[in-house]
Amino acid sequence: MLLKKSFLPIHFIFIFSILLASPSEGAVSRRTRKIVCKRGFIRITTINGVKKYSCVVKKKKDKAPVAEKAPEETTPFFSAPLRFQANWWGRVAGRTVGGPTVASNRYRAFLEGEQDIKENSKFVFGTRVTHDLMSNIQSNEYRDDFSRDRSPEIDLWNFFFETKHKGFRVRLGQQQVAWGETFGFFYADLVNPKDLRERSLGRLSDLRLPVPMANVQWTSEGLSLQFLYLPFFSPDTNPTPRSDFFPKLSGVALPPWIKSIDTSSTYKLDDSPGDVGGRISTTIKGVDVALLYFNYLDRQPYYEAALYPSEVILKRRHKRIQSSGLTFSTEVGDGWIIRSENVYTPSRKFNTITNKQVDTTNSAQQVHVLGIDAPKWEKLQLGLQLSLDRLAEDVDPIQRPKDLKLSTFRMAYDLPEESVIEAMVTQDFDSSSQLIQAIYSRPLSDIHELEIYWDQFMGDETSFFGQTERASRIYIGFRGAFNG
Amino acid sequence: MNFMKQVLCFVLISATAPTFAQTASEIIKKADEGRMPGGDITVDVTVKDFKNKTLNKETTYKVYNRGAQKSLVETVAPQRQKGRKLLMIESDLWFMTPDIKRATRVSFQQRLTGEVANGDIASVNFADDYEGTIAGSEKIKDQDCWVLDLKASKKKATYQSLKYWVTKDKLLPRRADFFATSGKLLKRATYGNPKDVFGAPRITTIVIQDAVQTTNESVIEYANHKREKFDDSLFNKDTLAP
Repeated sequence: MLLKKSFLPIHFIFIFSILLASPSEGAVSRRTRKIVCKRGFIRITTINGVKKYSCVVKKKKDKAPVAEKAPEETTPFFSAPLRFQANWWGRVAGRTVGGPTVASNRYRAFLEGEQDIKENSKFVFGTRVTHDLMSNIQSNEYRDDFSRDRSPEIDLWNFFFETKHKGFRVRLGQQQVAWGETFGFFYADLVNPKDLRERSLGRLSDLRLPVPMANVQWTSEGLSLQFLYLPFFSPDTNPTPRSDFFPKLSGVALPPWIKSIDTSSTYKLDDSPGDVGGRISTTIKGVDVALLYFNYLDRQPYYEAALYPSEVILKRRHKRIQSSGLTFSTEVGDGWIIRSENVYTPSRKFNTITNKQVDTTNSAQQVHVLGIDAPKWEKLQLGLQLSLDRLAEDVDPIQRPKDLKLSTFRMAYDLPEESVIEAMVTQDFDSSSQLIQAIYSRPLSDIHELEIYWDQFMGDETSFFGQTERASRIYIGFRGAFNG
Repeated sequence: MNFMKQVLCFVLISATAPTFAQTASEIIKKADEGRMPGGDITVDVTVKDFKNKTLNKETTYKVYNRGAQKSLVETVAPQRQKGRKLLMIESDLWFMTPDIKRATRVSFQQRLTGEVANGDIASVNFADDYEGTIAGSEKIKDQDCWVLDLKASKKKATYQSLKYWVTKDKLLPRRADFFATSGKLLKRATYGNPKDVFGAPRITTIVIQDAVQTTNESVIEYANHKREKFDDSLFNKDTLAP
C-alpha cells in the first residue's frame, strides 16, 4: 500500500483484506477501482490479487485574484434635491355686529424650503408674508378715519438645522414645538408664544410663533425624552386697545386716572431670558401619557403702574414662572377617544385694581381639560370638551374671572364632493356667554379649497365672550398648498 | 365483535370527515403575505373613490411598512392634503396634519377616504387581529377557495368579524365580507390583479364596496414595492410632526 502522508481518514474508505485469490498461472490480472472522497480519490489497483492503494489529493484551486476594493461611495453633501412647500390663504371678513362693514381683507403666504444634508441631516428655512388691504396688521385696527398702514408684515418663520444620530434628533434654530392632546385653546401648548391678535381663532400652526431654541429629543420603542432651551424671550402678541378683539372695557371702566396702557413693543423682564424645559412621553397599554415641565418667562404680561406728574401709564412686565403638566389620551370601547390635559403653575402674577391703586397678586393656577370624541356615525363626528381654569386668588375681573369654566361641543359632517361642515359652540358657564363658530370647506381643485366661516361672540358686554362682541365676523376665503 | 364494530365505525368516520392539510391560521397568515410582504418596505397606494361608476376623488399615499405591526401612511396627493400622516403601531393609531403639528390619537374604524377605513390601509394583519375557522369551500369565478370565518381577537381590529375567501392553489385572498358588531354587513372587498413582488404573487388591487349603498366603491391599487432600510424614529408618534 502506498499512502501519501497527506492522506486523511475519510468516511468513504472501506478497509478490505489485502489478500485475495491468487491469479491463474502465467496470466496477469489487473483491476482498478476508484473511490471518490472529499480531498480527492483513492485508486485501488489489484494486480494478481495484490491490492495497491494510492491516494490522489485534489489540487487546491487557485483562488481568484482579489478584486481591488472599489472606492467607498461617499454620500454627497446635498443628498437630495431641494424640496419646497408653499401654503397661502386669503379672506375677506365682514362684521356681523354693528355692521355690515368690511373689517379685514387679508392675505398670507408661507414658503418653506427643506434641504437634505448628507444622510441624517437637513436644513429648513421658511418665511411668512401677511398683507391686509383694510386693517393695520400690527394692531388689527380698522376705522374709517384711520389712515391705514398698507405695508406687509414679513416674518422669518421656521429656520433650523436638524441632525439625527442613534435615536437622537437635534434641532437648532427657529422652530415650533407643540405639546398637548386637546383642541381649541392653548392649555399645555406652553413653549412658543402665540399670536393672539384675534384671540385664539385660526389655525394653531398660524398662531404658534416660531422662536429660536435648542430642541434635543431621544426616542426609542415608544418612549420619547425631549429637552428644550430657549435663549431669548418673546411675548404673546395681544390685541391692541383699538382692535375689535380687545376686551370692551366700558362696562367695567378703568379708573379715570389711568390714562393708557403702554402698547409699545417695550416691556421689562423680571428675570434674565433663558427658558428651559422638557417632556417625557410614552404609550402604556394603549394610553398616550406625557409629563412636561417648563421654566419660562410668562408670555402674558402683568402691568406695573408708572407714575407721571399728571397721569398713570400701565407698563408691561413679564414674570418668571414654572409650569408642570400631565396629558393623556386613549381609545375606549369601540372608537371613543378620551383626551386630557392638566397643567399646574404654582405662582403666576396678575393685576388687581382698586379705587386708587393698581396692584399685583400672585396666584396659583390649575388648568384641567377633558375631551371626548365619539365614534364617527355614518358621516357625523361629535365631540365634547370641558375645561376648568382655576386661580387660587381673586384677580382683576377685567383680565379674567377667578374660575373660567368652558364647555365646547363640536360637530363635523361630511357633505358630497369632499365638502365638510363643522360647528363648535363654546359656553362660559359663569357668565353665560358663548362663542359660536361654523366653517364650510370645499375643494376647488387639487391645490385650492374654498372656506366660508363665521365666528359669533355672544353675551353681556362684561362677560368673557361678550366683551369682544365687536369681533363677530363672517369670512369668505380660499386656501391653497403646493409642494415641489 | 362489538369492539371491532367500534373500530370500524371510527375508521369510516375518520375517512369521510373533511381533513385540511393546512390550519385556518396558516391560511390566513399566507394570505396576509399575499397582500403585503414582510420586512421593511415602501409601497405606493392609490385610492380611487367612485360613486355611480364616476370617479369622485383620487388620493395617493406612500406607505412605509415594517412587518405587520408598524405602518406609516403619508398622503402624497392631492397637494392640499400632502403631508398628512397616519401612524400605526400594533393596536394604536395616530393622525397628524401640518395644521396641528402634533400627533392625535384616532380610531381604526374612522374613515380615511371614501369606503376605506384607516385600518384598511394601515393594517394588513388579519392573522394577529382575528381568529379564524375554516367553514368550507366555494368557487369564485372558477377559482377554488377556502371559506373562513374570522372573529376579532384584538381591540385594534377594524371590524368585528369577517367572512374570508382565500384561493386554494396560491393562498391569495379573493374576497372578504366585513361585519359590524350587530352582525350587519358593512362592506365587501374583492382582491385581484396578482403580480410578482419579491418572488411571490401579491395582490395589487382591492375593490371595496359599501354593502348598503352599493353604488359607492373604492379601489385600492398597490404599486412600486421596494425594500428599504428605515430609521427607528420613523415609527414614533413624537417625531411625526415636521
